[in-house]
Amino acid sequence: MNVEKAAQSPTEKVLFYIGIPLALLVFAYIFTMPTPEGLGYNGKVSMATFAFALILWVSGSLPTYVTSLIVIVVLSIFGGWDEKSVLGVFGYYVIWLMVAAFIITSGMEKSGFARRLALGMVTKFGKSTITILISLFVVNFLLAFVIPSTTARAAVMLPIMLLIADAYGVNKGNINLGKLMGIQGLQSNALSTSAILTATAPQILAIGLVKEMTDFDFGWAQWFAASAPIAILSLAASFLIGLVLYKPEKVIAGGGGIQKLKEEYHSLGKMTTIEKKALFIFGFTIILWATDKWHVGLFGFQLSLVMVAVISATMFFLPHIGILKWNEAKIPWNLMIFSAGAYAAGISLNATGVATWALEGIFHSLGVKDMGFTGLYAVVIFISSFSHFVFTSKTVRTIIVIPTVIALATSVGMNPVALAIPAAFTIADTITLPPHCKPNLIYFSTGFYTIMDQLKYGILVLLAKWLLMFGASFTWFKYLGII
Amino acid sequence: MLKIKNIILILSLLLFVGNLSAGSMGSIKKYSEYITPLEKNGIIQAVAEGKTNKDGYLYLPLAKKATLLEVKAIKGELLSKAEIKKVYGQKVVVLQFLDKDAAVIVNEKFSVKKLYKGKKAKQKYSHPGNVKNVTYKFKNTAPVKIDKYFLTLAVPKGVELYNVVYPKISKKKKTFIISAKDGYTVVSVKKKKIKQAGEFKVSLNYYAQPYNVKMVVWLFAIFIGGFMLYTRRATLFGKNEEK
Repeated sequence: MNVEKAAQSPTEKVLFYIGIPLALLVFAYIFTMPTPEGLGYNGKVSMATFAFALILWVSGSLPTYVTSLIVIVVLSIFGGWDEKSVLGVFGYYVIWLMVAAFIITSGMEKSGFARRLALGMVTKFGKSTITILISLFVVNFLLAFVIPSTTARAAVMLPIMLLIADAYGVNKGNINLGKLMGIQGLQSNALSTSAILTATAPQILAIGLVKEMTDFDFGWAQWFAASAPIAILSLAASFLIGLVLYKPEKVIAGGGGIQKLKEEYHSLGKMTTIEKKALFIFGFTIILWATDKWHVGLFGFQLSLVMVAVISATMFFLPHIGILKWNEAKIPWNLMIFSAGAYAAGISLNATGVATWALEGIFHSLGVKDMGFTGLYAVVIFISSFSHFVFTSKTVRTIIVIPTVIALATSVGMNPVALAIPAAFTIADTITLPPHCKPNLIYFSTGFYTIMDQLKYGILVLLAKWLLMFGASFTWFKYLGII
Repeated sequence: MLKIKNIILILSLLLFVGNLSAGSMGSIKKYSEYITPLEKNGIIQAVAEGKTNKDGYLYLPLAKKATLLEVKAIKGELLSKAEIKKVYGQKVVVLQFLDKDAAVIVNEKFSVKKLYKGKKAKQKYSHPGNVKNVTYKFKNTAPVKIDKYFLTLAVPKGVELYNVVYPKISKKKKTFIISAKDGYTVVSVKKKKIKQAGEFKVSLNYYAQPYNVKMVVWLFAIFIGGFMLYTRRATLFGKNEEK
C-alpha cells in the first residue's frame, strides 16, 4: 500500500495517524507484562508481535511488506519463534504456489485469452437486462478458472461492464441496472472465487494451514466438488435478491455500447498462436488439478497442487511451448514478503500454543464447548463469513480464522476438518463494504451505487450463503464425507 | 547346534523374566512426579499407586543422581524402611508392605543433585541471551512397566518459562500443559505406558528477562511513537499530506 495514499476517509486518516504509536505501545505492553498462565515467554512474544502487525496491517500506517519484514526480525530476535523456522516460511508450499500462480496470470494476461472469453460471452448472451446480468455472472464464474486473482478479474471485467452500462443507458436514468451491474460484479467475483480453490491465494493458504495443522489433504477437485454447488446457489441467490432490491427498468439495448463490444470482439479476429499456447498450458494445468486423485494410476506418481502450478509456470517460459520472458512475469515480491511475514506471524501463534490458549479462553467464556456440532458449525461459519468486517485482508483473516477453528474443534473433540474446510469456503466472502478487498474498490469506482446499497445487498447475500452452508452440513458436505 | 542351544537359553530366560515381572514383582498402575527446585537441586515428590507381590514387596523406580529422603505409605502399611537395591542391574526402591497382593499407595521424596544447575540453552542464530535449560530424564528402573506416568516440572521462581523443548508441540494433540502450582509455573506431561527400562524426557528453557530490555522497549515505543505522531501531524491537523 502506498503510504501517501493510505489516509483518505476521516476514519482511515485517524487509523493511519495512530497506527504506528498504537502498535508500538501494544507491543511494549504485551512484551513487558508477566507471561499469562498457560503460555511460555515465546508465546507472549509471538502474541505481542502478532498484535503489533495486525494493528499496522489494519491501520495501513506502514506498507504491508514493511510490517512483514519487521515481524520476521522481531519474532527472531525477541524469541517468539526461532530464526530458522521464521526464515523457512519463504520456502513454504503456499509461497511457491503464489509465485507460480502469478506467472500463470501473467501468461494468461499477455495472451489476451481472458479478454476474448469475456467479450465473447457478453456479446453472445446479452440480449436483455436479465440475460446481460446472467451473462456477467457466467463470465465472472468462468474467469475464476482462468485468472487466479480476484483483482485481475475485476480489472478485466471493469471496462467491459462500463461499455455494457453505457449500452443499457445506466447514465441516462437506468440507476437500478447500474447498481445491479456494479454490486453483482463484485459479488459474482467473490462468490465465484469460493468455487475454485486456485481463484485466490488465501484459499490456497487456508488449505495449506489445514494441511500443516491436521495433515489433511484437500485437492482442487475436492474443493470444487464441495464448494461449487454452494457458490452457484449463492450466485443464484445474489441474482434474485438483487432483482427484488433493485428491479431494473425494462430497456432495449441501444447506443453504441453492445455494438462497440461486438466490434471489439470481432476485431480480435481468430485465436492467435500465443492464445492457443496459453489455453493449452492452462487447460493442461486444470486437467492435472482436476485429476489429482488419479495421478498415481495415470502417471505412476502423485503431483501436488503446487507442483502442478510450478510445472505450468515452467511451461510458460519453455522455448516453443511458452509465451513469457522472465521480465514479463509480474511477480509481486512485496506480496510474497507480506505473505511470508503474515504466515510466520500466524504460524508462530500455533507453534507457541497461543492460538489454542486464546481460543480455549474465549470459547470457554462463551460456553461454545457445550454446544453440539450443528450449533458450533452454525456459529463458526457465521463468524468466519462475517469476520471480513474486521479484517480487510483475506490473507490475515485466513491466518487467524483457520487455525482458530482447527484449535477449537480439537479442543472440543470434534473433527477439525469438518469445521475448517467449510470455514475456508467463506474466505472470499468480502462483499459488504468497499475497503474489504481490491475488487470492491474497483467496482465502487464506477459510482453506480452507494456504500449503503452494497452493505444492505451484501449482508442479505451472505445470510443466504450462510443458510446454504448450514443446509449443506446436513446434505452435500455429509454426502461428500467432509462432515 | 550351538545356535539352537543359545536360542533355547534366551527363550527360557525371557520366560523366566516374564513370569518374574508379571507375578513376583507386583505392578505399578500410576506413577506421578512433581519436581520443584531447591537452589540448584531438584526435589521430587512422587506418588506411586501399585500392587504388592505375594511377599508384600513393591519395586519402584529410582532416578539417576537421586537420594531418597522420605517414604510414606498412604494406603497399606510399611513393614520396614525403604531399601535401595539393584534388580536386573538397575537401582530400585524396594518397599515391603504388610499387605500382600494388595493395592497400595506411597509417597516418596527424593533430592536430585544439580538438576537446576542452569545449563545454557542450545539456541542458534538470532535469539535472546540468558536462556537456560532444565532437562529431566525419567527412566523406569523398576522391574515392571508403569501403566500411567505423570510428570510435573516446575520453573524456578523469578524467571519465566521460555519454551518447552520436549515434548514438542503436536498438530494433533496436546503434548503438555503449562499451568501454575504452588507459585511456580509448571509444565505437566503424561505418558500412557513406560515399559521396563523405558525412558521419558521433559526439557524446558527458562529466561530471566533483563530489566533494561523492558526499559529499552518502552523507551523505543514512546520515542518512535511520539516521533511519528509529530511528523505525521499534518494527516489530521494540517492541510498538507505527508510527502
